[in-house]
Amino acid sequence: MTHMLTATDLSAAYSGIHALRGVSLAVSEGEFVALIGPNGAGKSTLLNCLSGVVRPTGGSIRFNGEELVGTAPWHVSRKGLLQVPEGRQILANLTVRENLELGATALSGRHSAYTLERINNLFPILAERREQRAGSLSGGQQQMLAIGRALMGGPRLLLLDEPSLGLAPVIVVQVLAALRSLNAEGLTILLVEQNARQALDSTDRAYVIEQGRVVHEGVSSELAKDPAVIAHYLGQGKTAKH
Amino acid sequence: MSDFFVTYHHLFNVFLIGSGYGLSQWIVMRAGVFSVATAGLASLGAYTAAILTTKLGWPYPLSLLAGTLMGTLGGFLLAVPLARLRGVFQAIATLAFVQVVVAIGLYADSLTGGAVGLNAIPTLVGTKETLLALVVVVYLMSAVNATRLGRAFEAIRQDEAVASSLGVSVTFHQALAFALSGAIAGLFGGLEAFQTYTLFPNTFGFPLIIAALSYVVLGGRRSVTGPIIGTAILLILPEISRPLADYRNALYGLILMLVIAYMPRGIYDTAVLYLRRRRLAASSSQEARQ
Repeated sequence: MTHMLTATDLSAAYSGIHALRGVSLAVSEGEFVALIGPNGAGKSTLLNCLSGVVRPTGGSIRFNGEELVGTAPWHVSRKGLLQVPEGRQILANLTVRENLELGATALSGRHSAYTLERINNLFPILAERREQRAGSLSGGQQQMLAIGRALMGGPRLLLLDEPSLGLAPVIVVQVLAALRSLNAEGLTILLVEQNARQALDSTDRAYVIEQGRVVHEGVSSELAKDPAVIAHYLGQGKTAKH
Repeated sequence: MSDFFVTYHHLFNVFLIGSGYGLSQWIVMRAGVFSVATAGLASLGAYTAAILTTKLGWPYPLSLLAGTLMGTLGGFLLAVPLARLRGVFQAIATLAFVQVVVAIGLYADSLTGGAVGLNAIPTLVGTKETLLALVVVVYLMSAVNATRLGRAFEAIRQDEAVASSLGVSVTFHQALAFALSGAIAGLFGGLEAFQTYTLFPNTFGFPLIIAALSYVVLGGRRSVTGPIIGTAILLILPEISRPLADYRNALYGLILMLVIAYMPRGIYDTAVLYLRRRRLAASSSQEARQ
């Protein structure tokens, strides 16, 4: 099977601290893959290496056969590897429409399957609030805007960094449902989550990382039943505390 | 009475030039660059325009254009090494650039007149021309603000990683902001040269760095109006505080400190935000009543 994205033996360090110690993962076209693990495991660092924001100290990243290590992050975005950053990071002073339009910068001549109309169907609230300042949206609406903005850039692979962060549980369910429907329509997604239970329920496959290493990987539904994973990440039948 | 007019007419010209420098400072900060190069870029424009007209007899519009291009080129060339630096390091590097320009002005005296100054520059530009230049620049900068370019600047200023994730090239946009800043500084440097009769290298030194920065910090960093309001306040202030003449600089510093501490967005942007909140509160209380 050919993979859309492969990271091989990736390592990264910040001022002497090894955030990643030889991580390998692969994502195939059409998959919905989760990356779970405790706080500080290196999940966000891994995502930032993939999107080019952090330069890995070793290893390789191939996206549709092309080496990405050393590519400027905006060139990575323009290839269709788009990240929805942690904490949403919408531009509060701009309107919803302006935020979405800015997202189309990443197209740079490519064609996007996600038109404004399609995004408005996915998140009707964005159409309703089109001319409002993005800063006036609620947290959940801002997350929808952040996803919509990334879709405007024509993603071939969408990276999401903790989309559930700081959102009410009912909103998290909505956001994950939207991601599942996008995946069902063919979008490849790599999701980083601390909320392991919900991430495993939504995705096809998952990687568990801890202290900069992949410690488990497999089909999400099987990992959710794996005693070792349950003990460490899901809690015995109790809801995960996050 | 006519003395009065002459005084304030001159002040108005100073205000127009100052606003130009303020906008040059504003456009780089808009793109998230902490540059103080405006003073040095203005010097390039001023000396280029003055030398071309006094020594080579160029007509002044052509000299102004050459000064503008020189500023643009200077800004663009600065952007290349500065692309690797961020924040306070950019400030220090651009401060060094300004000092280098001042030093060249002092030592290349066959060309610049050195410390004695470049004298007998014909006074070819008046209020009309300067006002026209400012209106054109304000129009162009408002246009920048309203298009995707302005939004890209806004994204970079907020967070470079986020801008990159949207496909916005940080290097390209910061180089563009530097070039625009250089163009504006070069143009208004040239306009100053054709108004003041004499140029000294130190005119474009540390005091101008502080002035241009203050205009933006005091007025506001978001809209084009901010730096112009900041310039107006900081230039009118010494005039209305004449009785406090001895304490003028202290007053100037005190106001800046108060604004930075209590209105970090600057006077104009704070006012806009305040009005927007009031409008929002008014409309939501109306909704509640219905």
